[in-house]
Amino acid sequence: MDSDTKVFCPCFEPRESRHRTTQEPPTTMLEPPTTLTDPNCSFNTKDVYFCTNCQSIKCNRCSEPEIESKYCPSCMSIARAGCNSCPRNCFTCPLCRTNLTVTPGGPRSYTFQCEGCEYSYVQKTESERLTVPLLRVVKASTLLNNASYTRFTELCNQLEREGLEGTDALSAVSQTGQKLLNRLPPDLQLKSLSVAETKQADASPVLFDEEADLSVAVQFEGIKNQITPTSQIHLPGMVPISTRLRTKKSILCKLCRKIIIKPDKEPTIIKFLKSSYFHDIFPTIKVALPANTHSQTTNFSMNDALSEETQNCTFLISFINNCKLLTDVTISTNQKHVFQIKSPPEMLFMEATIPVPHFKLGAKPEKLNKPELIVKTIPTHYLTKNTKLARVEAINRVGSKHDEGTEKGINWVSLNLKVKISSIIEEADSQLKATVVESLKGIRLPIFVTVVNDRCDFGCWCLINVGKLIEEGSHA
Amino acid sequence: MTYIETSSGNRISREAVITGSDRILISGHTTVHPYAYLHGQVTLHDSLHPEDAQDLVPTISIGKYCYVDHHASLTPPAYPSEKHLHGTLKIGNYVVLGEYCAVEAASLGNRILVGARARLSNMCVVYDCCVIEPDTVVPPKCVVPPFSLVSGAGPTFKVKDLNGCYKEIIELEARELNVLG
Repeated sequence: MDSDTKVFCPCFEPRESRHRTTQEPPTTMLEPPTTLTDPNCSFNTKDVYFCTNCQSIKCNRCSEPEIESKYCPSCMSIARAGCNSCPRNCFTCPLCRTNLTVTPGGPRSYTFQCEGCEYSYVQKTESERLTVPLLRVVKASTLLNNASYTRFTELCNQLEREGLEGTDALSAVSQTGQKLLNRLPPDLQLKSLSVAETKQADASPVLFDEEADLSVAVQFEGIKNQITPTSQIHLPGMVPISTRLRTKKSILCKLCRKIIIKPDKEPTIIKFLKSSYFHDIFPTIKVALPANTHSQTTNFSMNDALSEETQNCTFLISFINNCKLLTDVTISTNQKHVFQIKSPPEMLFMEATIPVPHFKLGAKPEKLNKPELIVKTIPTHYLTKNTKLARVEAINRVGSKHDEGTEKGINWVSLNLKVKISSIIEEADSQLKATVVESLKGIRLPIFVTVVNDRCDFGCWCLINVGKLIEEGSHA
Repeated sequence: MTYIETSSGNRISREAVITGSDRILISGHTTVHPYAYLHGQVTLHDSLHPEDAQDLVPTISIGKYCYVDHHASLTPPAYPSEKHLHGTLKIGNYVVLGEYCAVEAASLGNRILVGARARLSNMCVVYDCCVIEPDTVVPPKCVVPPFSLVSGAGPTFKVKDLNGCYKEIIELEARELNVLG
């Protein structure tokens, strides 16, 4: 499901240059957006939306979700608006996040058993019949069994008790501090604070009292034993976690506040009351190396990245219409794309030539219920020889290619995209070559695609992953 | 590799290992590749069939436009209390099962992509429009809600939200795979 092509959203673009990215580009020379190469601004076409009112692409930053309903992913029941976790007895394992099976373990206990790991937990209740939901019982015992929470309570109580006894506690604290100071080596004692020095003369010397220390230690040990939880699991946070709710969300355009996506509220129903996904409007762009001509067509070699001045690559680019409307497509690219690598900068240039910049994509068939029709919607390059139907279709299409390798189907068009890569470096050492080769693997060629049909009229920048193909071609 | 092609458009490989073929129901336009393992010869739990009608209830039912890849294994789920008794395995339409994946789930909805080497453990339920990534282990009795992207195994097991356009994408993928083989 990985996509070869990413689409650029101009929402991070500075205001003055934003208009250029959403409207039709000038015919003379394209100026790419400043954030075009930013990976945070390019998205998979399946993850973005399209606002028909604004006629523009909407990514997760320029769209706003609105919760329609909340439901438990375990029992699939709709929860109230204020809830964050399932109000029923749905729990997840704190170790592996798998659903827990809750069974009555005895007259006054419930056993939580994880199906994915060895985790189990026993929850004891006060009465045989539960008067409150199990979720509340578990939450209450979480607080009681939480060691840090109980220890904090115990310390608060102790301080309160000592406070009632008068100033004995404070004097004990000052004595302990003095004892620690006396334990310091003589040279460090001299460097102690001046305030301490002034008080030292008045204070009487306190000797190390081992018995007092031991009594304090015994006292703390006693508190520690008192706060040990009685349940099987002693670590805090190991109690069952109530299942977190999932949401069904509507998507709104941040600019015009119109609803882009509106799902049905029922958790198990996958119907949409309104949907405008970018993938449904924009054609799918697939890029591949031409069949049977891997090494001949792609002259570029990754190992000899800088050995020749200019190297040529040819790719097969296919546009498949996902919309049930006849669509006009125009492709344009900037004359010379400067490809920046880390050091030295701006030493590689990429120049793309598109033989047919304007074409019409046929509408996607209304119903793809017959295999004979499905096979016609697949570009020739992707037809296999595994089925009779695919083989027959491939034979029927022999000789259907037009000039310059262009081929057209019922809802698709395939073109040959020629790319020239040149460098300004004459001599390169092996280390530099390695840097260039590594950088070439991630290059994406930007093209501007304009789509016009009865439903939309817009253009956007697409980034084609040619680096991956160059690598494939050089290995072939 | 030879395939048996039925009148309803099913393509079943001769090398596929199928037990209890009379208790496996395939709707149509489904491809079963070589070495796929369909274990239909199991004893159903008494509650799932009327008396003396054990053989009439299908143990595995597969919907339209499904695609079972090489070495994929389909076994009806076993009852936790009585391991020799099984429930029925229901697979919806447009379900693609990748290579070496193992399915012991109770039910799979419509439009599901299961990646290679993924494992759907005993009694788990996967709702519509889900993508199970390769090498994922879905734990037993797990419920995967609609529009979920599932990945990882054990402590790394994760369920994320999937965009609604995957409904059409998965359907088209399943249709194309059946045409291309």
